Amino acid sequence: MESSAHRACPAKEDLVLVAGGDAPRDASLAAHVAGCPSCAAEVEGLRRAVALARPPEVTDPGDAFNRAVWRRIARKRSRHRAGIAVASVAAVAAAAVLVWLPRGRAVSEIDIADHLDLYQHLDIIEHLDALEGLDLVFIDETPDG
Amino acid sequence: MRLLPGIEESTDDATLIDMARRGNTAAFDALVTRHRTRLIRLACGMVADQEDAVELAQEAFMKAYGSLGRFRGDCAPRTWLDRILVNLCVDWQRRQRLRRGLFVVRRRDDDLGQPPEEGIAESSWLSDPQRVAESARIRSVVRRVLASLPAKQRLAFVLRHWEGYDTAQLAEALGCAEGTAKVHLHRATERMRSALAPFVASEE
Repeated sequence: MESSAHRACPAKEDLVLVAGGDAPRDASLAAHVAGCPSCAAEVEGLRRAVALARPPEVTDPGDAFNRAVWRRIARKRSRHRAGIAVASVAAVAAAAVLVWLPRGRAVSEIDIADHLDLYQHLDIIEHLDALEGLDLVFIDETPDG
Repeated sequence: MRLLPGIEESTDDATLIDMARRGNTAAFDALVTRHRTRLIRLACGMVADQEDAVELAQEAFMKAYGSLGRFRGDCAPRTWLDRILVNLCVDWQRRQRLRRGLFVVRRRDDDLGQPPEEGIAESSWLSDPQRVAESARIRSVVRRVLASLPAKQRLAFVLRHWEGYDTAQLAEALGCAEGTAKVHLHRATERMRSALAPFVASEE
C-alpha cells in the first residue's frame, strides 16, 4: 500500500530544483521528500549527477583578457567611424549626381545606374546601403529650385 | 583582484556600470576583471571549446561596453552580462550550424550512458592516476551531453547548476514561463544523470 507521502509525490521538475541545492520554497515539498523514499532516491540520484557535472575549472586569463576586450572595442569604434565617413561621402556623392542630372523629371534607378561609374570612381559602390532609400527622387521644378 | 584608481574592491557592479557610463574606463575594466572567469566558464557550457568560449566572453564585454547606456538596472548587472553572452552563444551556434550546411550535426549519443571500460568501472579509486582518468572521462561525457542537448535545455542546466539561477531568473533568461523552464531543466538533468549513471555507480 502506498503511503500518503508517496501519493502526494510532486512533479519531477520540482524535485530537480531540490536536487540543485535549493531549500524548497514549499515546506510541504521538503517534508514530502524527507518522508518519501522514492522521491528521496530521485533527489539523491539527481544530486549526484549534478555534483559530477560540475563546471570546468577555468583559470583566470589575467589582464591579457582585458587588453583583448579593449582592442575589440577600439576596432569596433574605428569601424564605426569609417562607416560614418563612407556614408557621408556617399550622401555627398548622391547629392552631386542628382544636381548634375537633367532637371524637371523623376530620377529613376536607371538614371542612378547610368552613373555607377561615378560611384565606382568614388569607391562607394560597396556601401550602397546608404542609397537604398533612393528608389525615386524628384527634382524641384519650381523656378527657384 | 588588482585595484584600479578610484575603484574599491567593494564597489558593486551597478556602481561600476554607472561610472563606466560616465566615461570611467577603469570602472569597466574592473567589471571585466570581476566577471571574466565566470563568463568564460558559462560560455564553456554553451560552446564546449574553451578558445571559442574566451572569444565569446570578450565579445560579450565589448557588446556590454557599447550597451552601457541602455542598461536600466531592471536586472542584476551579472544577469545582464550573462544575457549578452548567452545571446552571442546562441548566434554563434546558429552560425556554426549554417556553416555545416543548414542542418544540425548532432553528436552520436551511442556512447553516452554506456558503462566505462572494464577495469575502470570496477576500480575503487585506488590510485590518483585512475582518479584523474575517471575525472577526465566524466568531463568528456559532460561536454558531450551538453553539446547534444537542445539549446534551451543546455542553457537551463548551465545557468541553474553552474551559475545558481533560481527558477524566476532561469525563466527570464530562457524567455519562457517558469513551468516551461523547469521542464527544460528537468529534461537536461535527467539526460545528464542517465549519461553519468555508470560513474555515479562507481562512486558508491
